[in-house]
Amino acid sequence: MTIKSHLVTCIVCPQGCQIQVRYEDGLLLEIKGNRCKRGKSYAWQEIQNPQRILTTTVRVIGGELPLVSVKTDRPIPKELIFKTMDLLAGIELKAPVKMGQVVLDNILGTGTNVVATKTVKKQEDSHQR
Amino acid sequence: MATSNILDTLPERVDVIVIGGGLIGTLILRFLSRFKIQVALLEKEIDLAMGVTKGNGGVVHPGHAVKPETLKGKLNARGCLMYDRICRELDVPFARPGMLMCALTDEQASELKVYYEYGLKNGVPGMELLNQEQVRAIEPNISPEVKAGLFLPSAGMVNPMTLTVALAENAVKNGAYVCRATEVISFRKERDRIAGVVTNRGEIKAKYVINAAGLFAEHIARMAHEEVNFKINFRKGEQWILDKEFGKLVYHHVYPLPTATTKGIVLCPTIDGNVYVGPNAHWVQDMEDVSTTKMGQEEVFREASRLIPEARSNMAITGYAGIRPVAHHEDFIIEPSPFVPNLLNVAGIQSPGLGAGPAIAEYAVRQLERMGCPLEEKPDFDPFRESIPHFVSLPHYDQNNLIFHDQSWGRVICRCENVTEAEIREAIRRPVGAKTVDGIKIRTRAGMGRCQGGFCRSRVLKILAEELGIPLEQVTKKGHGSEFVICGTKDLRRTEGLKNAV
Amino acid sequence: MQYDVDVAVVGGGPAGLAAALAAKEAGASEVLLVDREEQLGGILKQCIHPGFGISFFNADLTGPEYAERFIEAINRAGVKTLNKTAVLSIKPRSLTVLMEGKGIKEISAKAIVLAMGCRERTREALGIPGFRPAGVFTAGLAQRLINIEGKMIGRRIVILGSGDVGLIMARRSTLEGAVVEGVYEILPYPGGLVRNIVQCLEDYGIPLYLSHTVTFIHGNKRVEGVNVAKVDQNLQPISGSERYIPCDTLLLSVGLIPENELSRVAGIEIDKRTGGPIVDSMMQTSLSGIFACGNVLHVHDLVDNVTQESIKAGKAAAFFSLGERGKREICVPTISGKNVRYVLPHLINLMDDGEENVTFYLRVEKPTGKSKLNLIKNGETVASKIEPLARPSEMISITVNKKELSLQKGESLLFEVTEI
Repeated sequence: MTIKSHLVTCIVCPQGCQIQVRYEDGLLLEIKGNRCKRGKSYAWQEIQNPQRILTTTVRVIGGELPLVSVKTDRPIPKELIFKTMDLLAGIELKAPVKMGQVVLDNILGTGTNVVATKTVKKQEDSHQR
Repeated sequence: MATSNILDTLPERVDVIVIGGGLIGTLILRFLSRFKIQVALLEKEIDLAMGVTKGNGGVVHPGHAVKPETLKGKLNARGCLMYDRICRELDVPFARPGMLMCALTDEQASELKVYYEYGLKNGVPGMELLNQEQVRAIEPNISPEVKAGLFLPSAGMVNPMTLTVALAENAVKNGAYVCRATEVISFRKERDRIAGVVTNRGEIKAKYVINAAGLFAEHIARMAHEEVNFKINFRKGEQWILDKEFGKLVYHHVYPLPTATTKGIVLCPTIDGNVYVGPNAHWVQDMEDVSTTKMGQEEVFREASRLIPEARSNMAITGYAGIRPVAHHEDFIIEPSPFVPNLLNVAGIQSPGLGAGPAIAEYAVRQLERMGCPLEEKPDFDPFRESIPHFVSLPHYDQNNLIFHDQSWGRVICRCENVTEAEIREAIRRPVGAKTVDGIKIRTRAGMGRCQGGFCRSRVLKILAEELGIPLEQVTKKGHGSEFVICGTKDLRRTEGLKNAV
Repeated sequence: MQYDVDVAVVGGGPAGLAAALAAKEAGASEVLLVDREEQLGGILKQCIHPGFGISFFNADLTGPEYAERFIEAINRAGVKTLNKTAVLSIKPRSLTVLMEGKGIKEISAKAIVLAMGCRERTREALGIPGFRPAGVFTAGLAQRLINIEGKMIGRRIVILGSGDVGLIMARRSTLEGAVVEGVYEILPYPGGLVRNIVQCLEDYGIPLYLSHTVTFIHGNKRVEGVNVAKVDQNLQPISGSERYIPCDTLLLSVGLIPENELSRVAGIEIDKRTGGPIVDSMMQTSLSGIFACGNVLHVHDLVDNVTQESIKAGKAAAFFSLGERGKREICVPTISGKNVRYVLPHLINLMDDGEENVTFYLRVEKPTGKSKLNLIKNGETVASKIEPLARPSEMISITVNKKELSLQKGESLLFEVTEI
């Protein structure tokens, strides 16, 4: 039953309003410092359930490149980022990898997938000297 | 760390060992490779020219700024004049921009005559005393404070590291061994003579040892005998290289009058088209202190602008420091040890070590002969060595030929200097080839341009890893301990565990 | 292989891709895109983070995805490409290139578009005192090593410069298990977007130190640590404020420099403030038939702007090659006034170049709060725009109708930004 207060830097537009959010037990009490409506909903979302798109790389075996760049196809809860990184560190994909290909599905039960953002073809032997 | 596949071959027994893979060591080695004896050069670092030579600015002194009665005076002018032939044989770029020693006061103007006299005695050709207008006429950016000058047309410019590598390649071509990453740990003596040189890779038996170990010359001499008849102290010099955009700031080597210990802070055109500014001179205890400092930079540019007012630190593209090995009497030491009859010390080679270089090697070899080493000339000594071609500068016919045999001649890796992949691979594959990123730099110029490796570094790392048969994590800038990358992108998380939990 | 084309584009990054596509769509029949790497996309290939295409595609794409859309489009449109080909020199109507496996060739091109991008400012250029160990990387090189070569660059990292690349790399390194000790910025305000300050530093608890710089690099072989110090308003280190930070890596994100070696050698006039060619409103440089766009012209912060600018250059190059338009005859100069560091284009073509509107890009000198951008002709404001916030790191653009400006020969257009 305690009132909490947090300062959130809004990223919706370049102004970066410093928004003060006061809340108690999941109920919004007051929002101050935003200059628009979008900022208000962003700030509340940041307090309740901050989410981020994660972009990183995953190892590829037998491809033209040793890694393929990937992203979560939707934002995931911020607190799952490092766990997701650990899961991805354990994955090795076999070339070829197609852009959009699902690399890890339903991350930790979120319903969000990690997809490839690049196409990596199989390594041709002829390019080696 | 598995590096056995990248170490130079170590012989079991030779006639002469040269300790020290800098300019002096390789000059001596190449000279010795003319004779029917087995010779080996030992260098403790992973590549040549990583000690004193690395800090050298490339000015081949004419020989007027050294007293005639010194060994420096006897050897400088002679060495300076030997450069045309050596550089032509070794395909190393060399030119003689000439030097202007500048007087800032009337007193200094009279003092110029002293150096003129030295020059005459030392055998310096073509000297001319110039008045203020004449100085201005040949060096337009010179300060109006300069009252007179001494012009020395024989002063040259060369890249000392390029030359060192070229000398070593030619020596190897003629049967010499060059053993890098080979550190001398002790000497095995038989009575008062050295019988074997014990290194970190094993012992080499030898009849004569030449100590050309630069900063470590005293250290090496002391390994051979507790008594050493010389002392080496260290004087640090910071210097800067100006962008080629300012290449015409000076046309000649512009020098002040020397002091008792140093030739002063100078501005010199380099053979690569840049301008070199420096060096200052300060005693240091730590022979490894090759750091540049803010104060050092301020001092260098303050002094330099007394001669060339336009010179400014924001014209610089890079700066570095070198350490000079200074003998107690400030002269060269090229003589057998009085305590170890088959040890020839070639020590205290600071300025004008580059200018005198070829003559130092010649003198050292004469000493060796007097020590009893037989020197019979090889009839088949081949003095010629070709540098790695700079692909984009070749005529079309040669380019097409090269590409026909090897497509990587057509693949540009370093955009700033237009260096192709084949040149880089060649730099690694040649005898005394590159083992490090710095080694590639001095043999091909890849990474020395405006972006300082920003574009080509990752590609050069891969080529080195491939050619040396090592993982990327083991490719270094300048030897063990200077690796670039530490592990695979995913491996740090796995080994270090969770960090910064959000 | 065609060595005689209508439009040749130098550089296959976002600028070159957009310009080549636009040239083809504007009617040039032979359009050739030349790039020195194995794959097109330029720097986008290693920018695996999102933020690309928000305005152009109305989507939040990663760099590789943004590049792929253009690569597919140019292939569909029939643009020819030459990969693994380095351009050695340019002059009006021709390029000299080194094609891997084929040697040096001359390519004739009626029009040329320069899209070479930029390089990063180096430690040497900054003149940071100290030793010269391994472990000092520009942020872009580190990004390439981590994202393309798959290698980690260090365990404990200090970042100098709060530009976007540095911020992105702070996050990237942390995600892959390194510790980023802090980001040090010499100015009193950050260089990157707010979005990145929040999502790259705040999210990971990485401190940002404004008005600080690195004053010494320790370590003979590999970085062992750096000295940092607070700076005064002249950006000079304050003595006594130095602090030693142990680390094994120093990342530099201290500025991008348009890569105009080819342009300089060709004799193209370069603007000292932008580091890029002086261009008119058709993006044409001082050499007839040679156009420039993207980072080679001036350093951008959003790829969407690069695309818009490059489309203009591509179109103009196409029209030039068709003989339809393009003499830089009558032009009116733009002038950078109060709080404007630079404005592009430098010159506004008065004759008909087929465009109704002209888009100006500018950066302010100093950050301000709510401000008004005024375009002033003969002392009168002829166009203006309100910016809720003006930062040097965020490029401002304004599109105006040429007829409304009604400029005459001999006049000039002054750009000013005033806080309101």
